[in-house]
Amino acid sequence: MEVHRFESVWAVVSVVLIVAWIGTVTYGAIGPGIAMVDGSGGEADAALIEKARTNDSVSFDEVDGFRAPGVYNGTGENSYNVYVVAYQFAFEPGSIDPIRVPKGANVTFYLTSEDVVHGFELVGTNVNTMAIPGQIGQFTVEFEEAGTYGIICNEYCGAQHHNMAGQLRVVNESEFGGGN
Amino acid sequence: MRNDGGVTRRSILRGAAGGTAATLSLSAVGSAGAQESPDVEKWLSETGNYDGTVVDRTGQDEVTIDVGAPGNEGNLAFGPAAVRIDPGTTVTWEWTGKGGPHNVQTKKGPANLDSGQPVPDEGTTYQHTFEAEGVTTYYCNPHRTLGMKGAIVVGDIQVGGGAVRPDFGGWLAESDGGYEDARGQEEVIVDVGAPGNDGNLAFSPAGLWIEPGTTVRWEWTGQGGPHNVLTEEGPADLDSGQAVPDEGTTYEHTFEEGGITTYYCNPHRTLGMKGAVAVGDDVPTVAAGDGGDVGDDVGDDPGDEAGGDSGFALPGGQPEISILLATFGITAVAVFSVLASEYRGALGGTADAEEPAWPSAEDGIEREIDHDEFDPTGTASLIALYFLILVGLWFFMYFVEFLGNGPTVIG
Repeated sequence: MEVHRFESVWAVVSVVLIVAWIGTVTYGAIGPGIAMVDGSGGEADAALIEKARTNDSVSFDEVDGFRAPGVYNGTGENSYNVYVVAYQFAFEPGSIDPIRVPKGANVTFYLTSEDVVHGFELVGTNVNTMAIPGQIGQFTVEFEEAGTYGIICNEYCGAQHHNMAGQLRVVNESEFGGGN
Repeated sequence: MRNDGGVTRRSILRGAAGGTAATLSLSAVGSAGAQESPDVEKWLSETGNYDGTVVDRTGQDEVTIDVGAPGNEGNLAFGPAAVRIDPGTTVTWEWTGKGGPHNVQTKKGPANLDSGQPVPDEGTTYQHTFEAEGVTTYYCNPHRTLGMKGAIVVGDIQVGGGAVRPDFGGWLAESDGGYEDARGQEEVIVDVGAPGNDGNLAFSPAGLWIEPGTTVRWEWTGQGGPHNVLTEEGPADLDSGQAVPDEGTTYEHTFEEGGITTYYCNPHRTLGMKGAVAVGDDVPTVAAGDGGDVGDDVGDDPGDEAGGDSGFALPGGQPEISILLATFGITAVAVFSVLASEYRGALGGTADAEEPAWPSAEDGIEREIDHDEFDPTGTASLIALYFLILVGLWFFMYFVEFLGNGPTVIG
């Protein structure tokens, strides 16, 4: 088979492109350290979380693997853990009071839903995952700049889905009062 | 929750729509007034437990309102939502403990209500004594978008320029000029040749609600050509005679009999120069917020609702779209020019030479070239272009759209 030299040129270029694309994804994982949200967060009893959140007689202490919604100090230095419950039709914390985290810290979110599938998206960023009842979504984010991000639910979850939103405020360390 | 700095996605849209609506309604309103108090009907239009009635609690010194009353698909209502009280009355808001954290905050009005941070606890109360007459609208901050709103009407005042307006049966549906509730006035002036209907071709106000015995005087502005006033239907027989253009012309009629009289200007009837007068309280009405008739003169203030939502800003503008369009435009031009040059090359010489461009088999072989001697440069440039597009898309998708939109999940 005769291969024209032009053909060999673009065959080689095609292979180079494919290698480059695979390389890009590899670079993303190794270089900037981009991670996927996986099942490492574990599971939690959605019905129990709903009871703990709404009923004073049930405490979050009874829930395995999940703490009362809020911002907690993490184990490492300058690390925080944020426990968020999504429910119809709000995020707690987030909707009523904004989630407040300090700038430059490693913030690990533990996200779950107590009723149906919700979304958790920081608008305009790559922080975007599902809140699945029974599952805890665990993911770490570093916020390098102070500012306010909107949180929206991007999975249709019911009649008031369009009103399901919240806010995350990244504040300077001096303004941050610390976690629980 | 309030986001004063940012612009919400909804407020952009609403702002745009509201701006247009406001412009339209401003042009339509003309001199229509009676809009000094907030419109309760409009404020509570999406409040589930408000059925159109302002609950009368006048004559009582103390009034209680439940916070977290059933309504709005949950315990997300003030019960009752709208209350009329006397000046000097003390209103106590009592938390039922249902529906999550609530608070009471003024939207607009003389009374500055603020119960502070939302709290969920049963037994929480908040008190305010209303001294000044007026309408105070308020809401619960966490559940405002779900319809948890209320209104306190202090004193014997008209709510929102009339919570209802006469139903003119669509007579004014296409007409500018606005609507005025002039009940209580003895004499009302209607401009003839007011701005509207694409010219100075409107009655202003076009819709009018008066009491029996009121005299309505039509005053010609001198604009928009000859006008007159003629009854279409109704108890009052209006007839100003031949249409005249002169400024200062007037025509008067005293309305004694109740009912709705519709009228028009004969030369400009088809252009929308119509009016209507409702006399007395015994006329069919529609909710004022419905618009419907007389292009909505309420004028929803744009951006009014904007701050309430949990706001977020749209990232960036839309430069990506123009970049994409430019890329595709350049590609299209390039492809066409390559095709065109190939085509011209194929037909090369036909114009000047006499022999056909494509030699037939009988002509014999004129020139034979080897496989490697032919260079498909056109094909090569097309493929190079495809590669460029692919690299461009790759660059924008991964490096601009993905990596550029931090923060990103890193663990």
